[in-house]
This record gives sequence, C-alpha cells and structure tokens, in this order.
Amino acid sequence: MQVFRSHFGALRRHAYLFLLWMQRDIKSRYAGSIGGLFWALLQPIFTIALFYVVFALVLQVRVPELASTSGYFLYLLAGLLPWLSISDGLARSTGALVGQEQFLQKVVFPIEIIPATAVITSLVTQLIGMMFLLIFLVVAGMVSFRWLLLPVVLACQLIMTLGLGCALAILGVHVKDLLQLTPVLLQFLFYSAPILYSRSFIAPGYHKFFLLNPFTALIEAYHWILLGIPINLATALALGFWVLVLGLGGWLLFRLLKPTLGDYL
Amino acid sequence: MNPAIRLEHVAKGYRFYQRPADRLRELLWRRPLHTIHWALQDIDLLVQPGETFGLIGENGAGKSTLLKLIAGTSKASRGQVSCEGRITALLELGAGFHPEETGRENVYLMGALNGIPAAAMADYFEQIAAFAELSDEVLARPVKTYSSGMFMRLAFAAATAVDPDILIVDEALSVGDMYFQKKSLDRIMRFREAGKTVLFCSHNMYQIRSLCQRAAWLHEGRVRALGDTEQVVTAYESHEREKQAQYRQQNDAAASDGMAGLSNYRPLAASSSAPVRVRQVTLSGGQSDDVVYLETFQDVAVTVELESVDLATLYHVGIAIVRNDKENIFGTSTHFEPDSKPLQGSRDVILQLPRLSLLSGEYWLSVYVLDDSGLQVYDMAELICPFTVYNPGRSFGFVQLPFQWQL
Repeated sequence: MQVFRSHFGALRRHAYLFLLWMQRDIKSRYAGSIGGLFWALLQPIFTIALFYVVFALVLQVRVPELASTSGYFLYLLAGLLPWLSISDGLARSTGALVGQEQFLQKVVFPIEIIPATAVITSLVTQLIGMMFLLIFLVVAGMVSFRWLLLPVVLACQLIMTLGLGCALAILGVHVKDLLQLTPVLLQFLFYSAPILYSRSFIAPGYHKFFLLNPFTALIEAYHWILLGIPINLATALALGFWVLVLGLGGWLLFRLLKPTLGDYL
Repeated sequence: MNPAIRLEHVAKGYRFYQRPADRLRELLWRRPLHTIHWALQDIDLLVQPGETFGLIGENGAGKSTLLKLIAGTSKASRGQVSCEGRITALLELGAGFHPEETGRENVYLMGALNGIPAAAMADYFEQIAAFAELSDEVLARPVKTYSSGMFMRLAFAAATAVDPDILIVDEALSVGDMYFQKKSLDRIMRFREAGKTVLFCSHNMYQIRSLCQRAAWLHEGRVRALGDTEQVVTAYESHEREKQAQYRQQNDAAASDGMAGLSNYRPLAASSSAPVRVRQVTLSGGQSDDVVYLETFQDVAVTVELESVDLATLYHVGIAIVRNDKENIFGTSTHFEPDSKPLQGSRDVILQLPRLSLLSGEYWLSVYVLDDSGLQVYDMAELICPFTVYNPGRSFGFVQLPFQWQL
C-alpha cells in the first residue's frame, strides 16, 4: 500500500500540472489536423464499423448469449470500447518516456505523469462510447442494477493499464525493442480475449488458458455488467489476480527503474 | 548555517554497453558487461547560502553533469548531494515548451511545474508577460511562430519568475539581444542581492568575474581549482592559452611542412655564406622555439646574438613584431635611429620594449640583418620566437593607445 500511496501522492501533489499535461497531450495529438478532436471519435467509429461489417454481416457471426444482429453489435461494443482504450493507452505509454527524453534530461519532472496521461486520455473515447452503448441498452430494454458495478470494473481497468503502461514506458527506455514488440503483443492480447467471439466459442476446458490473458477476465466482466452474460468464479478470481499483479508489479518495476532513468535516456 | 549545496565525494559514471542486448544480459545474469565512463569523480563542494558560485571548465569537463546532479535530473553514482531549499534550474531555456502550444499555455505549464497553485497563476502570468515584454496578442500564438529572441525572453522570464532559494544557470545568458542579456543579468543580480544562492556556469569569464564570489574549475571530471573567483579564472585562462599555443604550434609545424619554400622561415643554425648571421634570438628569456607568455604593459626585451664572419662588415639590425596572420604590427631597425652608426663584429643587440602596449593576441618576431645602407638583407630569421600576449585589462583591439577621458 505504501508504494501506491507514494505514487498516487506524487500525482495528487502535481494535480494541476497533471491536468495541464493532459490538455497538452490531447491538443498536441490532433494539432494541425483538419478533423482535430473529432478524430478521437472518428477512429473508433471506423474500427467498430469495420469489425461489425466483417464479422456480423460478412461472416455472420452470432453470439449464442445474445442471438440477434443487433445482439452481436452490442456485444462487440461492450468489449471493443474498453479494448480500444486499453490498447491505445498501452501503445502510447511504451514510447511516451522515450519521446520526452530531451525534456526529461533538462527538467525535474514527476515522470509518473507521462504514462498516466497516455492511459487516462485514452479513456475519453471509451467513456463517450459507453454512454452511447448505455443509451442503446436502455432503448433495447436491457437496463440492469449490475450497471452500478461499472465504476468498479472501470477502476480495475485503470489499475491494470496504469501498472502495465508504467512498466512498458520505463522498460521502453531500457529496451528499445519494446517499441517494435508492443504492437505485436497488443494484437495477440486482442485476438486471445473474447472480444470478437464469445465464451461459447471456446472449447470446454480451454477457458482457463484464455484467462492467462489479463484482459480476458476484464472484458468478460464488462460483458456481464453491461449485457448480463454470466461469468464464473475463475474469471472473477483471475480479474482480482491480474489487477493485483499488473497494478502492484507495474508500479514496483517503475519505482525500481526510475532512479536510474536519467542515465539511460 | 547549513550550506545551500553540499557535495561529498560525488562521482558520476555512465555505463556503456557494446550491444544493446548486453544491458539485458547483465540484468539477468548479474555479470558486468559494461564499461564505465566517469564524468565526475571525487567532487567535494560546499556552496553557502547567499553565495554566487561560478563553475568553469572546458566542454566535456563535467559541468553540465554536475549541474544535473544538483538540479536533480540525474542521480550521483557515489557520494552525497544535498541541497537546502527550493531549486530552479535553467539547464536549457525553453525545455518543456511545446511548439504547438501558445505562449500562455506554455507559461502555465512551466508555472505548474514550478509548483505555482492554480489560484496564483494569473499573477504569475502577468509578471512574466511584463518581463518578457510580449503583448497579449503574441502570447495567444503558438510559440513555434516566435522569433528566437521572443522565445528566449519568454522562457527566461517563465523560469526565473518563481522565487527559488537556489538558482542554477547554465549558459542561459548567452542568448538574446544585448538589451535582454542586460535584463537577465540584472535579474540574476537581484537574486544575489536578495540573498539567494546562485550557481552559475558560463564560458564567459567576464560574467563569471563580475557575478561570482567563488568559483570552481572542473577539469576532466575533477575539481582542478576551487576558491576565490579571480584566482580560479586566471588559472583557467592561462591553461586555455597554453592549450591554444600548443595547438597553434602543432598546426604551424604541419603548415610549414606543407608550405616548404613558401615560408621564409630559416632554421637559425643553418649555415650561410652571409658575412653576418643571426645566431640566436631570445625574447625575455624564452628560446626561439618556446612560446613565451606576456602580459600587456610588461617590460620586454629582445636579444639578438649576431655572429660576424668578416669583422669589417658594417651592418644594421631590424626587428619586427608580426601577428599570427602575418601582418606586421610594428617594426624598427637600428638604422632608423637618428645619427645611427652601423654595427660591427660579433655581438648582442638588445631591443628594449618597456611597457609593451600590445593587447591580447599571438605574435612572432622577425629579425633581419641589413647592410650599412639598410637596403640589402644579409641574413634573416622570420616568424620565430612565438609569443602570446594576454591583456589583464579590459580594453580591446590590437594595441593600447595613449588616451584620456574628458568627462
């Protein structure tokens, strides 16, 4: 707990700086483009549309748990929205510290802010998308008390991505190969999590292997909370396990490697 | 009172790996696979509160590394670095500025970085805008549209508007126009007068002299001299001059090899059929091949040893001071003197130059032996006795002229 407190302490002390840094991050990402901030919405819309056309319309995939055309669409949204945010956050954290090396050599800066910004600004799209998803669900009459658990699963997601993001950011400084490796890793995580397919596609007995992907449990939790697709105890335990391992492990690794960072930039 | 900055046995090493993979392998197998470059070694330094301390040294001597250790962007490999109070480091002006963001946004971020709370930000911003002398219209533009002068003004203002206990300045004053340089210098002076500690690193010895009470000279990662500014700076400057002279000598050697036949240089010992020959020239004790270091207004004597083969030959001696670009600065000859009589026989000729009025520069001597009419050259030794003049005063140019201010 001490570890968490000291690092969250740094973020709280520099709350205003954190806020300005996030503003700069969002602004500079879309600076100079015609679409501007709309890209934050256009990109995921194009991605979701592409997956929907290919899997729902061309390949005619249906999930047994929600058997209709719009059922697959809702299923896709519930898993893809968090995943796009996670993968965007992780991809950008990996190069985040390396990209700021000139700056970090010259200015004393609470570097936690840099990967945290990458992860948190990536949440914006997800939150907007989730609002639309909730509206769709209300229209479809699928309102549920389970929605009250949304903040909990969101917190789980944040801890996991912050931990992994910080680890990738600082490892990216030491091992430059990560910049090449992370996209491959993200592809692997994407296809090995039940986002495009559902649990019923997995042969019985093999589900435990899918839980080795830290985000399988998280995505299943989203499916349960939003769509009511049941999860088992193994999934819940796996979620708790991965939140602890990625959150704590990521912070510890970050803390371990942070003091020598200046020498390797 | 505790010192503001205290460094004890500080060393900083950078690890180098032959291949990127070695770093990972070292981590995994716990087997050293690196070579260490020591940027700093055995640094002991105390800077008292309220002191303005200068840091000088050649490029690569470790100055910037030392400043980084004190500023906290880098950690010492060994030893202790401790500082009392809030530090603002001007390691690079405008580091942290984003070109796409406006002047205002950049200033706000710098403010937040320096711990200015949101409530005090408007005041902070006004103060900076006033110091940088930039209008609201300019400050609403992205900084990438600024001229470099405007950028530097804003960056300096933003960095120094906070009220640090310790200010670290690395070469920051060498930017901007004269007016702004003066303004920045004034601001540092005000910090000094307010009893703040200033650590100042510069290649400009004039600034070091006029700002700092004490100084340290870093050489190859170690403190070579530490103490009173004047002593440290003087020691450093003479080291620099020696190095330059060595460099020049090497270059001269290379140049004269390549330019054989073009140069009039003649080794003094060479035999000649001349009736009178220059055997040896000494400049204030220095032999003809040594570089002699002189100061402006020093009394200087040139001694020419002459060997006369034919004792009956009448001759004159001319001596010229030649600047290193082969311009004659001053020349005279014994036959220029009123009612002069030609010289005769083997003897020494001494030219006294009391209170040498040359200013800083590098020079040679050229010596000529002329016939009694002064028209024919019997013997000569050109571009010998290299010497370097250093002007401890502040006038500039080639020579000191007699002058007087009427105020």
